[in-house]
Amino acid sequence: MIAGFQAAGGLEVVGRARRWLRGQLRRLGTPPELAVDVELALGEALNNVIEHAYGGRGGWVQVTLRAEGNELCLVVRDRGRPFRPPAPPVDPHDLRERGYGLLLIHRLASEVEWRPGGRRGTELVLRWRR
Amino acid sequence: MRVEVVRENGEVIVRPRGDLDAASAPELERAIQGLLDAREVKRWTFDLAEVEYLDSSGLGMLVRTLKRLRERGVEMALARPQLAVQRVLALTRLDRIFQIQGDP
Repeated sequence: MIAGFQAAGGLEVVGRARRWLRGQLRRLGTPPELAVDVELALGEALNNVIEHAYGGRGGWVQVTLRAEGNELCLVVRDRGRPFRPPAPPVDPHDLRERGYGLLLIHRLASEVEWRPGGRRGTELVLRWRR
Repeated sequence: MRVEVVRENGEVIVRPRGDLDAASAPELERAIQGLLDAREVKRWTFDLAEVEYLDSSGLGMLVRTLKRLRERGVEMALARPQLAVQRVLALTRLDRIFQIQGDP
């Protein structure tokens, strides 16, 4: 099964994309614990795109969900500034006010890969085994 | 997002409803600004029973609020977090930092 969502905009797009994904995951009969993780990861991925790739102004994003066998794969594409983030170690006792988004993406998904997306932008590939 | 704020006998209970994310967290933060420095406030609770989704921006807002209240010696707790919220707190290990309780 493959399903896609695309939109152009700022933070309001994140909620719309998450609701779309929630519907798709429900249709696939995804267990609630896994559905929560996939939705959270998409939300953080899109926050990141809007903040870093588009400098807070927003822009075009595309989300593709693929379910094959016991694997779920989510691809998030943008056409903004290229983004290759490091995995940030976060000690909760630092009481940091930022940096949790990337940490969550890494802890939520089984596999995380950022790669250049065609002529412009970035493609983030997230995988889960069901 | 909607929010209800109850203030009683030195305690503030903030009840946000809906998603606490990058779009709504700044709005909630603005809504509580005036109360953070109120002298008579001794205890502060975010009742999260009706928050279905918390993201890194919502977390950042909670951490900032905790730091600001701690500076003034005010205790802060999170009450009744739902599944998705518990998950975010556990994955970031902030569940070791915040006081988390069943009832507000």
